[in-house]
Amino acid sequence: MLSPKAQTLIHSYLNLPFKGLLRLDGAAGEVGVGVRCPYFNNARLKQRGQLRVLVGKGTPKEIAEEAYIISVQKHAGLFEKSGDCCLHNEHTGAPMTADDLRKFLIDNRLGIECSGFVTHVLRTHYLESKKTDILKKLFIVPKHQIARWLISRLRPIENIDVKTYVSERNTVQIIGITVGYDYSKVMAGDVITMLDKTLPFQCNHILVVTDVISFVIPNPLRRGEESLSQSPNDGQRSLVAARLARNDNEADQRITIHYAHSRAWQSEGKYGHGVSEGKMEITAPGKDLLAQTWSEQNKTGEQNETFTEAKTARVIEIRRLKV
Amino acid sequence: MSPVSLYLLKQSLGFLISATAVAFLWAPLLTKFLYKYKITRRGDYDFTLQGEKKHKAGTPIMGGLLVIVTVAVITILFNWDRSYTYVPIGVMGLSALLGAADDLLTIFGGERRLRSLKHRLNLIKVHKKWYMKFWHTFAIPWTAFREMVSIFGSKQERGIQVHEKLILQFIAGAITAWWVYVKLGENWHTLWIPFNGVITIGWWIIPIIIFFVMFTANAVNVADGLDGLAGGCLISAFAGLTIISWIEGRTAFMPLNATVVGALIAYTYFNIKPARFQMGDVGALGLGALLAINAIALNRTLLLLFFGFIFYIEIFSVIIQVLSRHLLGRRVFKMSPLHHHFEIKGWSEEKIVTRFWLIQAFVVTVGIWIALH
Repeated sequence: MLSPKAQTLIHSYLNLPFKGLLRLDGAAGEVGVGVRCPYFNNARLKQRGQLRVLVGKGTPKEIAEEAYIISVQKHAGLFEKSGDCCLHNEHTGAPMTADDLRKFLIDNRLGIECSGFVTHVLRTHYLESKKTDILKKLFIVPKHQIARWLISRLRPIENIDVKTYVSERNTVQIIGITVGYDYSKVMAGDVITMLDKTLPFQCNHILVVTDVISFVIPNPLRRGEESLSQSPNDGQRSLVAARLARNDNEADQRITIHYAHSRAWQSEGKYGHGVSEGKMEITAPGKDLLAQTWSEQNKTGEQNETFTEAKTARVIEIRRLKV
Repeated sequence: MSPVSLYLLKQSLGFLISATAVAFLWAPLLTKFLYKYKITRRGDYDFTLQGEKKHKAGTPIMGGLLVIVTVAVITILFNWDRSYTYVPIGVMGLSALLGAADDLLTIFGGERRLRSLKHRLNLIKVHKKWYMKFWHTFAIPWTAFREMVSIFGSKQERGIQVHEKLILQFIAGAITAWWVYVKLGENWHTLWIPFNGVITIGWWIIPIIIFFVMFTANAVNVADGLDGLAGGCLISAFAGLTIISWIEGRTAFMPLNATVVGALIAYTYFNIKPARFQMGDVGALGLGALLAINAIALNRTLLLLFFGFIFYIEIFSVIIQVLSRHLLGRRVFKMSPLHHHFEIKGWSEEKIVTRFWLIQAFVVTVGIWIALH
């Protein structure tokens, strides 16, 4: 699993730290209940020299603070003077909910993009688990490009993108065409990269592996299969015998890779996107990532847009930081 | 106390009381004038007029005229000295004029659409007429200068732009430097260092003077963001200068500084929350320049660091915020200038203003103490 602080950070992205927000049922909830951080990518606006929180690279705290500042600047009336969320919108008088805040964030282009999210999570993870700041270790641009190199040192998170994580100088391939498909090697903190998507308006994407659960099928199930092998039905008996004859490790081990990422599904419209968690069940060991079962938001197969986007990528692999 | 000092004290207190009385007398006329010609803050382009500040929309600006005009009239009539007071009053007037033009253009002027550097470079490429190509090429340095300084200013679509202000303030600073270097004589070719006497720096005093005049004028302007803040802090600053000029026996400057204190008392009376009028650039730029000139004229330039403490803290907060925003992509303060940071943190306007007044008064006292050594 990721380190506790990294898990807390992901939780903060899923529940942005807005103080005093009401739950949908009107009761006072725990801090920031339900305001999932939206997705925002600066690629189209191309704002330069801007605050990192305004270009999709902010931390949850920065995003919540910026929302408050923008609300003050734009007279939105979403917060009280103390910084707490208003119980009622100052202007409309309508009760404030998490959805109102999410809509406000999206309308004001506040959110996080995929590589920004992954960088913050991995930085926290490695700082806690290995006492290493990945921002100082990652190779972003070569030193002979002095200006770009200087900027990348001053603002590393803004200059890190998916290609940084695909660079052989920063990561090694764990799952992919070159090294094969041994999913037992995957660990929390690895990244799933999707490069060179072929559909228009789609850019590279990255997900962070938050947990890998590996387990063996319980014995009773296997005993049940053995009892079936005594079946009078010849066809059924031979089928079960064939299954039992397979390699035990391959047959019994089940791996589920849990991941988190910031993404925008077309099916979710303008206000549905954001940081999300999903899982990939390794149902076809030894085969590539697209052969596995991806599920997210209770959607699998073609309904799961993360999976359909993965299908459009020319390169999809799992990599690990060289830290 | 010598008879001369006593006379100077009595004379200056007389100026202070007169200035206060005069300012109080014509303040209602000024208010009526500003309302009549609708020289007021408008909410449609001013984002700071939100929430609890909604009531400030419609408040007259250019209330700084109360101080500028009172000081100018009293000084010209009763304290006019070609050696000492005419340049400070002249530069104050010039800076105030610049501020007035900005205030009026912000209210009544249309939106200004200025060509970006990229746009101008494109025009050089595409224009068919050679003289237009020449004109756009000629204008590149000016456009580049504007783009460079615009990072320190908020995106202003009305009024005088930051780069234009800087040029005019530079002229005001240059006039002051000329006056100090050429007219006041060799005693002013030195720089006073706290606890260390003076050091002779020759013509290097010129850029130092220009810098302090420009910087202080802008610093006061930046600090003029809450009701009573700039006015109250300026009272402390000019009171400090009055005391220093009394100690030094400056017969022209003590009455001048006392006059400013008197006029500021009347101004601040009307400016505390809820303000009857606000200072505007006319007052902030004019009084900021005058603060710097008077300290320079007393040959106590570095005392400005104490006498203008709150103003410099405010402008440094803007500089730090801008640098941090552009270089590191992060905010140091929730908002700049500093008083907005505390507002966002939930402090009331009164709390911020009162605390800043107290801090300013304390630091001015420290400055006076240092000056005595």
